Amino acid sequence: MRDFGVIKEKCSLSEALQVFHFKGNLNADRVHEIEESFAGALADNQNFIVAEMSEVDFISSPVLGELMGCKRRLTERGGNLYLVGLNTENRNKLRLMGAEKIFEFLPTIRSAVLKYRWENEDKGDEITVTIPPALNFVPEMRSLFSGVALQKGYSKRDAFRIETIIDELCNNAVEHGARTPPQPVQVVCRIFRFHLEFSIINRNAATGGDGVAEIQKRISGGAPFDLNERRGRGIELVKMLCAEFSVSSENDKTIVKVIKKKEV
Amino acid sequence: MVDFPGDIDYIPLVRKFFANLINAHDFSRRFAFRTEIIIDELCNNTIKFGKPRIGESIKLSCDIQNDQIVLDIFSPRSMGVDIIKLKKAVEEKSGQKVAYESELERGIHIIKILCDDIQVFDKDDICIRVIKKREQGEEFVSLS
Repeated sequence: MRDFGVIKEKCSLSEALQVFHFKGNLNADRVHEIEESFAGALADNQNFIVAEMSEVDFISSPVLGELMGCKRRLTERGGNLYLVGLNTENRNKLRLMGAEKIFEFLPTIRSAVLKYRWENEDKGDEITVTIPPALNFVPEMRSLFSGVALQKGYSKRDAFRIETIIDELCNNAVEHGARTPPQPVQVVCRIFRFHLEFSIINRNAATGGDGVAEIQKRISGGAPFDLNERRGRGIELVKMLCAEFSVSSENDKTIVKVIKKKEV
Repeated sequence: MVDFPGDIDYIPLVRKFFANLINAHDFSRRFAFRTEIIIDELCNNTIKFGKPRIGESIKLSCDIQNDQIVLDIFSPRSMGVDIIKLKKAVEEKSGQKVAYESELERGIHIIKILCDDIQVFDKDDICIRVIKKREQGEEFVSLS
């Protein structure tokens, strides 16, 4: 059994976070010490606190109450309290007490930093996927990006729409891209809290700059779409599903850019 | 090739992406599942022991050939990968007694059990290459 202790230190990964390493049994008689530690951080205007619990053997309900109170005080000031590194037993006990509705249990301090950045700095995450120009890669590509959207808190409806956009654009990139020699198709996704940006990049086939100009004209509404036309429905569909849509040509590459906003 | 942030939240999505692709290329479900475990170990170890800086990304490529797949995972040199320890863990022969001193060694040992070859390249970036050959006598069963 480890002795009780709280060690306060700066987070090495982010200056905005203060880390409290808890050790041993967090019994009811330790509430006052824990409260004082948190009060000190609040007095120093530390609004983002990580409670690191990997060396904690037991968490009593009064201590859980204190953690909840601290989280409430921090939230009122625009901050947050992250619970990190709980062992399976403690995590299960906290779940039984309903604490998972208040706290998100994070595995490492790094996860807490990434969560802080995601929620407060909105710098976004970038995922790039490069595939050969073959249609059988597209279904997995669209599943990957809809999965990323769901993971980051977007709705199922958003994820489905993202899947449709990716499907249309990747199929077009494979179909209209240069094939001899086969040129890869690249999808760059930047995901933010409230919007996603996609760039689909491939090498031009015969269409070249003129073809791109024609597509851009259609996107901007300069060339009306005839419903009876067999080609070009994909462009209309993507236009309907996203907030911004553009196509450009750089050197011998075609770059399609799409911005999809999160539906709230 | 997938280039993704050094965040463990992305690993399940990435390993599923590659497993489904492998399965869609007529490799068995068992093969795809084993590859998924390899990818999981490679990515988790890269994040855990490579300690990528916040915002730094990890690159994973998969070359699907007729008779084998080749996985390459790249960690930027700026990450704190202990190349000597990594090489030692990789070069340890399968017949040798495994020390299981660390999680890294255990992870590498799991990969060695599941693959046919594993190598470490130390050039611009640090790259771990894993080769897994098609298993004979297995019927193709779709994941879906």
